[in-house]
Amino acid sequence: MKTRWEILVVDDEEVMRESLAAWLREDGYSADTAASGREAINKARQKEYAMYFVDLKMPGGIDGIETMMEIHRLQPDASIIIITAYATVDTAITAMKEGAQEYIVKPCNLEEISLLVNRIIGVKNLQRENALLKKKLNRRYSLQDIISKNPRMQEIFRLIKEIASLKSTVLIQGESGTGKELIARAIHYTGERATKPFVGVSCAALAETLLESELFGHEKGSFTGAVAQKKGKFELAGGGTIFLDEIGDIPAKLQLDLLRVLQERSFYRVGGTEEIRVDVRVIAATNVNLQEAVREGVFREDLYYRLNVISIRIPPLRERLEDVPLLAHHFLEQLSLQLGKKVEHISEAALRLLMNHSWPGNVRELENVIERALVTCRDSLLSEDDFQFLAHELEGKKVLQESPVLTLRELEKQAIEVALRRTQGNMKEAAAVLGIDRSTLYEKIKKYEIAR
Amino acid sequence: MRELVSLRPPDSSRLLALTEKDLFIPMLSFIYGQAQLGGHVAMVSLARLRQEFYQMPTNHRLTVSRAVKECFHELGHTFGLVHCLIAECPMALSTNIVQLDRKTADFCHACSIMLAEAIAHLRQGQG
Repeated sequence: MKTRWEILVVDDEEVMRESLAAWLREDGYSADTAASGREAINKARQKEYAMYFVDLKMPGGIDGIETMMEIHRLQPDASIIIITAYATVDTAITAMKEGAQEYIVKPCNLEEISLLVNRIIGVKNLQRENALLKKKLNRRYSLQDIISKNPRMQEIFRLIKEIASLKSTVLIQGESGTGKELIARAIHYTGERATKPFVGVSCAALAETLLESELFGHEKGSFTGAVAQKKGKFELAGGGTIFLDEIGDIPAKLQLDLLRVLQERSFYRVGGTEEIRVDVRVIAATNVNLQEAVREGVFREDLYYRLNVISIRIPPLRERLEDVPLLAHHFLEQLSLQLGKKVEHISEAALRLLMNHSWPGNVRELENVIERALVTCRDSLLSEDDFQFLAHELEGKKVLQESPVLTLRELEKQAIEVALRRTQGNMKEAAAVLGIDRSTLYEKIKKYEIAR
Repeated sequence: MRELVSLRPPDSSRLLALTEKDLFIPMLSFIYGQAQLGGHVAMVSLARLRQEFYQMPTNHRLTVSRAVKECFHELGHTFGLVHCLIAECPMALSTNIVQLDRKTADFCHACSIMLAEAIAHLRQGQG
């Protein structure tokens, strides 16, 4: 199926413009006509045509070249093809110099004109696709893509705009699934570093030595397996932003190394002697209370202050329940497209059910819940019935919540044990049920010494 | 074309004219046929469909087969169909005789559906 591109045919001879327009319509384009340069310019002011066929010799004051120049001024991206019966090399050169994309002599061969139009429209299709993809890419990480009408979140959006182009370190704190990485990316892509790399590292996912080489790189032969020199994430993020996720889990030695990078803006590769200087903005994120970790002596106080220059605390979803319907509709729109489902609405009763949930896994849990409901939904509406699994989980949780002797730690441990039992130890499914990512689940299993 | 429009009997749905004359529209050097897109009249020239035009021996069967495809093409336009990207469909654009010979007289799936819909509308008295 061809896209209906709009083409304007400009010729003072009626039979010429109407016959060419008729042929273009048969070829699937939407063709309009103008009898003079003036009429063409007026039409170009009102509508954007993808392509213009302009006759060179036209009476009435404005000739083809002048018409073309004016159209170019109005629509710099339009393709203009000059047509004339009086072909001379001079007029061709003038037309091309003034910005005509092509120059044809009438009467022209059907094959020639068809190839010409197809070639130009082919390029236009690619340009449009490219622009759409670029827009999509930027949108994915822009502030507009973070959905919230909560005043505290709005405050965060304002702060992001103010600090986006600064070099200061940012510390993002929030529970699992609140969208810390999304905020970090929004800061990067809103600021002056947007065209430079954004490099993310999850500090909890790797063992100490691996993390060290991941962050700072290593020299060839610096340890077993270091068969070649490798650049670290700090170097790869040069000029851009490094995002250190789960910074609260970073081991003591690396805390010291990181402190040095933040102070000196330089470091050494593992096994290296050359000091490497970097211009990198650091954004760190954590779901643990760093102040408490400092008090407990597991996190360096000086590093905490170095990181906590600009602090952003993302509220959990249960504290901004007004966002639940907005987010639910957003995920429905996005996921139904991805899953190829024609589900367009969520019933009032289903939304009430979602608003009553406490969302321990935050926005990520909500996304998973919508996906799970969509997979089994057989209707064009997500109803309360599609979220029955959530009601069952709620009941289970209520039993837990009613027990007053449990600490939060124990509560979390129990929730993980229940999820693992229910999914027969399937980590991916258990993480989805809990609304956390797999690396967080691994980390918590380790932390609470849960048998799998 | 204007004359053909005035010649169409009021109780007819489409008027298709055949001519031995070589046709052209002012912008183009030649055309095999012409139609009103979504209109009622169309015409097809047999001049370039005959082998003799290309200094080849007469082949009536080939001329008829080419004429059928061109008639389908132009009539297709009167039912609102535009050029098809499938080279074998009669609605494909042919700018030379090789392309015309590559076409078949069978409409592709999409064009068949659109044509059937247009004819159904016509039967209901809307076209």
